[in-house]
Amino acid sequence: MDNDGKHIRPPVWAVNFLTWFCSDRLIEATLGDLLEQFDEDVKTKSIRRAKLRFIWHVIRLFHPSIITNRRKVTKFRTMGLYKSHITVAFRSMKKYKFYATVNILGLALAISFVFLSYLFIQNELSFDQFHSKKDRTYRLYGYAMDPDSRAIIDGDHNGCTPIPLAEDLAEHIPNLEYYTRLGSVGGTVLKNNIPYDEVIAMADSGFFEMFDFPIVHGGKNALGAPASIVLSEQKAAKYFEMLNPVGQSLELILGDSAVTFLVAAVVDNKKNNSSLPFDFLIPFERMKMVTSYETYNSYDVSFTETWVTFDEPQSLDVSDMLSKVIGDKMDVHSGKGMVGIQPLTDVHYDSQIQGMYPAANPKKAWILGGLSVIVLIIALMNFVTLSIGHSLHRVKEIGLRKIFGGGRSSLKAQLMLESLMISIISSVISLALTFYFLPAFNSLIEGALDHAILVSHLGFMVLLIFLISAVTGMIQAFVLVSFKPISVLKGPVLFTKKGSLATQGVVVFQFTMAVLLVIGTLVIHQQMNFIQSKDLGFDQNRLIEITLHTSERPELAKRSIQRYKTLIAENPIILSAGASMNGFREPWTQLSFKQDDESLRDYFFNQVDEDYLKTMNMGIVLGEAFNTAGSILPTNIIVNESLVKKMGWENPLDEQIPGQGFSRPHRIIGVVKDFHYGSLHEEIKPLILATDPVAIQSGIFGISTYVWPPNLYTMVIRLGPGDLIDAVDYLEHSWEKTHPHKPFTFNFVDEMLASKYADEVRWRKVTNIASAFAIIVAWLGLLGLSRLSVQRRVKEIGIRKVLGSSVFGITQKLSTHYLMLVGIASMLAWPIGWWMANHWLDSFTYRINISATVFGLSSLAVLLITICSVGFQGYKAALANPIDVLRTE
Amino acid sequence: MSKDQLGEFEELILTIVGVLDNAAYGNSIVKEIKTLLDRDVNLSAVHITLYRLEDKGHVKSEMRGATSSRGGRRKRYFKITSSGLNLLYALQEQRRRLWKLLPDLNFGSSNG
Repeated sequence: MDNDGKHIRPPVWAVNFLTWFCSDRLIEATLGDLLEQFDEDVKTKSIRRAKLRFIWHVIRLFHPSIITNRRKVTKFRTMGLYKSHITVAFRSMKKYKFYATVNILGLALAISFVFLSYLFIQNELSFDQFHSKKDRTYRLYGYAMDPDSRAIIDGDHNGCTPIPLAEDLAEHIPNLEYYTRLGSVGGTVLKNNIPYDEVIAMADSGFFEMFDFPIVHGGKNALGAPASIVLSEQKAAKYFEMLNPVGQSLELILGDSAVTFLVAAVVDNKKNNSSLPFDFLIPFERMKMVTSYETYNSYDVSFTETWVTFDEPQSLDVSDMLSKVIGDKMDVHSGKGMVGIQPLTDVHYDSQIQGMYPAANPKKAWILGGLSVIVLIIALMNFVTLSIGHSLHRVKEIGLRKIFGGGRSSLKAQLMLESLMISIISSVISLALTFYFLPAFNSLIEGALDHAILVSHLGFMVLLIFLISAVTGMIQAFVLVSFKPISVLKGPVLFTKKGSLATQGVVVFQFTMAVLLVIGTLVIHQQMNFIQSKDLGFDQNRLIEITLHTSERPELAKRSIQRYKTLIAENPIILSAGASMNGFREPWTQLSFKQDDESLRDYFFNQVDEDYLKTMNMGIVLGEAFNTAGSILPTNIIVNESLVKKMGWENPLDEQIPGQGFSRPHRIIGVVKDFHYGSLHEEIKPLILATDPVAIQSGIFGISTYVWPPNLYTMVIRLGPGDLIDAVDYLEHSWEKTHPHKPFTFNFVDEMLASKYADEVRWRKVTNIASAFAIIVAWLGLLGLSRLSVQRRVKEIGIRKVLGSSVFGITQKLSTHYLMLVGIASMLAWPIGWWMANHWLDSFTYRINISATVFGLSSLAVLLITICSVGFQGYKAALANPIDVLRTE
Repeated sequence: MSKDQLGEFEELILTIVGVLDNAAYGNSIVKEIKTLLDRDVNLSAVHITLYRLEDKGHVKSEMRGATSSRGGRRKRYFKITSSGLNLLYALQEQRRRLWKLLPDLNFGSSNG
């Protein structure tokens, strides 16, 4: 007692802590002793010291012998209890099928989803990890540095580097162990006189020293001989069936010449796990067959990648060392050309540096991971709230167990065991679901996860099960067991003030997530529709693009194109056909011209023939197209509106493209209406069209391109009304007449353009499915919760009915509360959803504005789901005969 | 034979439990040690030792005698068991034998 006569108590938390960890057998006497000591300390010492001593005592007691102290005999007793717990758990599941089903199904769905996402992320993270020299292998990239301030100029990190770079570096840098250049060109494989279009990759002999692609047949020094070729397993199967093709010959047409190669090796190209995709690999020197001598030795052209392996890992800041070797040979655009190194393991995810193949978006893995965490949280919340709510039925059992002497630890053990059982059953079901869904999931993410991966990652599943049962079991155990038997017997625990607040919190959280996911789904859907229906500046419908397999000699190429055009023009369904250098598969050629102030300016370029603009239905805003004899002069060019706007020209027809190196004037004869030749993620950039590259060739200072040298490589063909299949058959038939040894490759332009957004379309599907998963799981939880709250009020409903309430009135009464929760959740979800959607849309230059209907619709959807579950439960309860529920009292 | 070995603190507690005979519980042991030996021991350390001795079978316990200062909680009274008593005797005997072997040192005192 202190001076005020008020009883001094030790810190509550310390007492709680002791009660929590101390074994049941010891707690009474131990705590008693501590309290006695405390009382005495209060009398003899200061209150502060007494409290400190108490805390110190508690901490000292946190000792294994106190925590786990139990009599040896009890072990036998609990052994028997476990068996009984399992029996009871099964009985309870059987008796309350509804809850068991909701719990198990929800959890199983969530686990499958988490497991699938885990597999996907695992696969993404394992990209390029199988190379043993991965920590000292790098890709070189070019970038520009301001020569004066030495500041790095943004936006010009190019994963492609000039061809001579690798050899120059290898000559001057002693600790450079291996190097390889990597290029790829379109080629034709001739097998039994049938031509096939293929992409042929080229690499130096260091390739197989640097990269550990598993070799199926043949040896490591496969690229030694100039006529050797390495095939991927898939292509080996395509051209040689199941036989070992090593030593067999394969005829390839590159450029204008046919070469016979000997198969030196077959390798597993790890297609889904490698940033270096290839199907055919030939020695890099073969690049000379398709490029000019100047290009092959030029520091101004970059269309191949350079990879190096050092004898030890390098710091990333080696540009000075590299730049010393290349001196001033490289001039990346306006600044001083610099070369940096990028670790192999970064290539897959770094979209800053674009090489020959696009980098993956790391956001994908994050989005999927985030979604699966949301789904899991929702399922766990359901599990816990439902189990606690379900204690409505179980509290009496627990209370009785307590009265008959069931200790806290044994009750805890029972509840943990039940959680564990439910998680294990769910996991078994989810394993089956995962197994079943894997192929569909694969086609969705374009992955190649197989069932073997599933088995090898079962450990993760086991971990997940224990995590889930530990978390849920623990929460349940603490909530349920901490109640005193007497209050447990008196009434349900979930509907105490604290309990119902927590339940409402859970419901609001789930609704918020659901509304958010629906907003996301709708916004993605609208944006994709917007993009697909956007006016591109030309007519993409009934337009076919074919690959021309052009001769290197322009005059030959022109003649064969003309022959084909004349032939197909005989069919009335073909309205017109025009050839061009760049098609719609790859980005267009980008040129730079040196300005008077030594800076460089970029323009996109396409060489077209006289029918191209007409075939594409492109509009001419000013001047004329290439359609009269006078307009088709080698020096005539057409520019687009963006170029005129950027230059700020008043009379574009009187202007010249500025540049130092132009040896002769060109004439701008027309301005074409802006059209989208790149991705809709970007705005339309300045473009020059010409019938002959001569018009601007002398001024070119730098090129970055997929297609070079200038020539007519593709043809677009406009079809009139009529049967598409007949038209394509006719085109193919004519092709075989004019180009007997070249494959006929065609694509519909609208499909090609759509494939540029394949990634977005795929992620639309993934988010759709994830949202569906989350919403189903949340809905299951809601169903359970609403049933609980209705059951709690059956008597009230009965009395209301007796007093004259209508069924509708009662249903309304029971649902209003949940509708309010939807309202709160919407208020929370709208701003978050708005922010997230805007963030995503900002990655598009041409984007929709988020309309209010999106928010309205999303809340409406969740509202409907709520009414379906809550309203249904309420309606059912309201229909019940009051006598049935009231007579028991 | 770890069962027959006792640490210094364990032996002290065991002895005091014997000394207090029927009145040994956490706080009384702490007090007794303070009065008899003027030594401050930590109550929690005493608890941990008591439970360890109980596990070894040297003491047994029973619950009784709630008082209001303990919030109505009963005390756990410890009583030395015959095995505990035998152990104390054995230790005593051991020590006596060793004591005998000690040479008659008198450190300069004339009549040792």
